[in-house]
Amino acid sequence: MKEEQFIRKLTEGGDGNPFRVPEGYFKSFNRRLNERPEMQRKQISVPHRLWHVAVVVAMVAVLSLPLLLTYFENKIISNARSKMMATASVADEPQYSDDYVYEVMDYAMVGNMEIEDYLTRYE
Amino acid sequence: MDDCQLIIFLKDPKTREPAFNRLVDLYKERLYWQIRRMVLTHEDTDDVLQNTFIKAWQGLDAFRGEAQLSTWLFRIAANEALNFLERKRPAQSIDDEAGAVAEQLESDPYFDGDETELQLQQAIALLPERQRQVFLLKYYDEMPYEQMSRVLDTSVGALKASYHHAVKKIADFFRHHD
Repeated sequence: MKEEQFIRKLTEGGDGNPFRVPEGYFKSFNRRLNERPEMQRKQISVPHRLWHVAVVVAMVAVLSLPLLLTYFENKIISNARSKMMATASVADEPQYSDDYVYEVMDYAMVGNMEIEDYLTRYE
Repeated sequence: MDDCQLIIFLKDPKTREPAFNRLVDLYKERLYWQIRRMVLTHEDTDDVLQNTFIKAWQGLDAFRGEAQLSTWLFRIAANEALNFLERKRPAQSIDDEAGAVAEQLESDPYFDGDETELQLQQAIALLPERQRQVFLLKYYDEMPYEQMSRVLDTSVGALKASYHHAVKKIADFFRHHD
């Protein structure tokens, strides 16, 4: 192309590339690129991810256990208290079935010794 | 190591990092110059070049290997350079833009060109950005039109016409500023 030759002829006096690069730029480029946060490994291996999930679940379980125990302890105490303080006849009072009580005991992981202790505490 | 081998290593999480470092080593200089001729200053080029490789790193899973690695990287670099210029472009007239480019390059410690080279850069800066890319890839990199078509996602015919018009505009610029 004639006009392309015209341009090349005009600029052929120079060394072809008027732009310069700072000393050592390309040598240090990889290091600087790898330091960018966006270049950190974004893929986590499956076992590693499962480990994170397991740790979180265990922490939640440990932290919520005292809350659960407190909740069921209060429920058992208030049930026991209302039974003992009742003036109406046994037949008129709502009766808690053994199954219900055993279920609550299971949730609270409360054994017979603890039940006896609670019941006798308010005598 | 050819493209096929490198792609295999890039796809494997165990070898991805060293393979990517190898990719950076292979292409950083060529991409640097492709970007530099578009954005002109070294600092801006460094930003765009890093963003190019970050995009490539983040897009590795989506890369299907249908295109060559070079074409894929040149395309990312071309888009990043265009996006950069879009964000940077101030509202000014064409004459102001030529003047701004001249001023920028004259004060740039990493620009060594003489008066003619300065005029050439001014003329190139006046081209629409897409046309500028075509001119730079053809004039400086002598990229074949077929490859350029894949990099810029434009037909060969449109690229040839674009280059022809770009060269004419630059030649006219020199004649008017002689």
